[in-house]
Amino acid sequence: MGSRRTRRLQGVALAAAACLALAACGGASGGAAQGPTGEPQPGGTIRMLMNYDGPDLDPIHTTVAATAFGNQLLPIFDTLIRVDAQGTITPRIATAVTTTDGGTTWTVKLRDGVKFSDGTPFDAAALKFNWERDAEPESGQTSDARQITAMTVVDPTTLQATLASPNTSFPYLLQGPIGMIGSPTAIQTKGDQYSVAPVGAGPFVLDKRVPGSSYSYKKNPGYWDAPRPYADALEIRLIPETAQMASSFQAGEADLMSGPTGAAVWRQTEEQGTRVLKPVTFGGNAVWFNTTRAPVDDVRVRRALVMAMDPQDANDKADEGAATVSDNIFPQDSPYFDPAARIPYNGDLAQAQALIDSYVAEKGGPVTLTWLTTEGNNRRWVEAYAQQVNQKLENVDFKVEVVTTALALQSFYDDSFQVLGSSFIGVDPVLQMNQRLACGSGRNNANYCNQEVDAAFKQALRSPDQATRVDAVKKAQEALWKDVPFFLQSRAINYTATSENLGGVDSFAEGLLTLDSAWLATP
Amino acid sequence: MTTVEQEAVAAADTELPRSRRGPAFLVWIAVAWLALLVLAALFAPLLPLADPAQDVGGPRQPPFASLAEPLGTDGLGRSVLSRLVYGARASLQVGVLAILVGLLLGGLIGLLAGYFRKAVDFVIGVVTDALLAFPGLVLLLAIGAVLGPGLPTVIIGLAALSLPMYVRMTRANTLRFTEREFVQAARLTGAPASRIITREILPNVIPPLLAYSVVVMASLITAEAAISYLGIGIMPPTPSWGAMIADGQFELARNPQLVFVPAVVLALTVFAFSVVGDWGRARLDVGGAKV
Repeated sequence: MGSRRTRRLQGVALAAAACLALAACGGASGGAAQGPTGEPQPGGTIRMLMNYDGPDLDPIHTTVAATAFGNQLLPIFDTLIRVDAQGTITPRIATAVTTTDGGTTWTVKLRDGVKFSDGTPFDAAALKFNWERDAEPESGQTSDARQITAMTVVDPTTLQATLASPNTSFPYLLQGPIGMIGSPTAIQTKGDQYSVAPVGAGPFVLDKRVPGSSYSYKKNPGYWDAPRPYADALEIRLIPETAQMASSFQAGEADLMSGPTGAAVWRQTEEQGTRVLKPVTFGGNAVWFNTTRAPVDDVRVRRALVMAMDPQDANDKADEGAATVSDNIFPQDSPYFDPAARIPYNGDLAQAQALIDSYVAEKGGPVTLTWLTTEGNNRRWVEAYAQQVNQKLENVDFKVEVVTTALALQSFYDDSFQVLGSSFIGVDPVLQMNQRLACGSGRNNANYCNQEVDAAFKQALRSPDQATRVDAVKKAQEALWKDVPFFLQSRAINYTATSENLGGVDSFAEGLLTLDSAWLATP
Repeated sequence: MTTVEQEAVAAADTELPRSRRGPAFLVWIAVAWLALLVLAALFAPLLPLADPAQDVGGPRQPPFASLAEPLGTDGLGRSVLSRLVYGARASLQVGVLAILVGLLLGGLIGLLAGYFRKAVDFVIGVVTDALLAFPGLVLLLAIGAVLGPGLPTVIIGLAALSLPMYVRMTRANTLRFTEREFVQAARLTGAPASRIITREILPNVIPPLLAYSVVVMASLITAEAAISYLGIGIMPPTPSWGAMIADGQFELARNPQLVFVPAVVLALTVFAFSVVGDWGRARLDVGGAKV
């Protein structure tokens, strides 16, 4: 075990030195069943089922994650780069992202001759336009885009960007929202309508969207990676409940389905011989404490609550044991895995009660708090954890409130929440943890602030060296699990099942799909 | 007892054979079931039941497998029996409160409409018809969307649902009595409207309304289950039959007992209320034809 991990670490370190890649993201493992083999066939309509819908189609307003909105936006925009299963960066529309000064100045080299689906050129000027727009106040991507302080168009395919401070994780951002580039002409002429009918350089062009219900795409004939896409059209239908979605899929109403893990249905789907893609990344469904709101502003309360929790019991109750739970945010084969960095689940109950008692003695009791959840599978998890706490600790009233997604999001942004879930996943833990946990970061919804953690990440972001990064994450975790600003509900990310008729689909990052290379054996 | 009251009783007596045609034993079974339910709900904290929010020994224990938990446990390891009893508490409490609001408010409005007729009746009639024409579930969903989920939403929603029914019922019965001799006589003696309504009409209108309430109760329990099922009713972990059914629905294929046990109790209860309500309506001569 130990030696295997060491070898893996060395291999990763080599890869990292060569391409600044980090292998926090494991491979997507398929089931026994596979799709069709042979030459990809052109034509046909790929039918897909999904759970989620997002606000609007403008990448400046949304997160690009498999668990959020990523798979609806990818067909329209593609991304500048892709991070594959081994954590290495694969070029897409950007052929190279390089730095010569340790992460402050970055040169983005674009593929020659790429055009947006409206025929306008995808050049360095278009990229600069998009990144400037990403940094404007109405954008939701300012925490990414405002790292860039200056941009120079060197030639039509080369953009030089200077960052405020060194960030060796910068290339990873280009798989996210700021890696989804829209046509400047369309953005300028369409105004508000752009978020309804966006124009990118992806494999498909949006034909029609019925919010909350369906998406229809047509093939982009001018796609840069010809002869892809193989299919003539792509249809996405949204079914919010995973079990219902699985029934439709099993009834042959779709070629693939993608949704949150757990919910036992995936296990059942796999048992029926269907290929299921299961990306493994760090993190998962995280639950955040608002560290500036009583009573969870007090570390004693946060610690005591988590100590009373038992993820395996919650898994048995909420998902009939089908989900994966862990007390470590990194999977065992990740170079960042540190057996000492444990989320303090299943702690000593007397100790946990003593923490609550000392809080109550000081500030009065009982400790009352509310965990917001949306309806569906997630609610069962939330109820299971809250039940454990209420049953094991005296003087604690952990309430569960079921709200709409919109209300939950709002409480996240206006800071009115006490406890709320929000996925914590990604391809680069340093980047992701820094965004979510650094003092004052725009995505730090827990309002967490610890100088030790900050210093560790700052050091990691300056270093392309894997060992330094691993060490920094280790240091950060030491402080983190004393403070417990969040915990992992389950390591549930996003699974995808593909029918026997569908080939060429793989997942990358935390469950984004390569729909550009998808093809149907019998269109 | 006034002559009119005697007349009413006589009228009811002539109706008796109609109700006797129904199987009386069914009524007794229904009454027994309801009595059991009400008593269990009232004395739930005194009964040897587990806390309905606590895990009593692992999730998804099948029914009839252990003495301690005769109906098994739900997905969160909570006692199904205990949750049914506490759920009955919630259902009955909500039903009774909604009926009280409907009865008092709807009864008053109906009395005014039936007694004063003309413009008052017209306005009330239009509003009542509009409310009745509006699909009940849509109304409940709208109220849920505005007020957010929770007990007040359920009570307000169900009261809004029962209100127009009571208005109609009271108005029809008021009309029936307003033209009767004893009311005319009271009018001729110069009694004020308030006195005629409270002393002469009201005592005659109340019995059929009470009988009707039992039938309304059945539909309100179903409605409560429906909105709790849809997630805008009573909040977890407070048990509710509708929520229990909703919680089990996605495991229906693997753990059907999670849905079937509460569904059977719900069905039995609604059936019992309907049986008792029909019997009461027949006894008190408030057949639909006379409304």
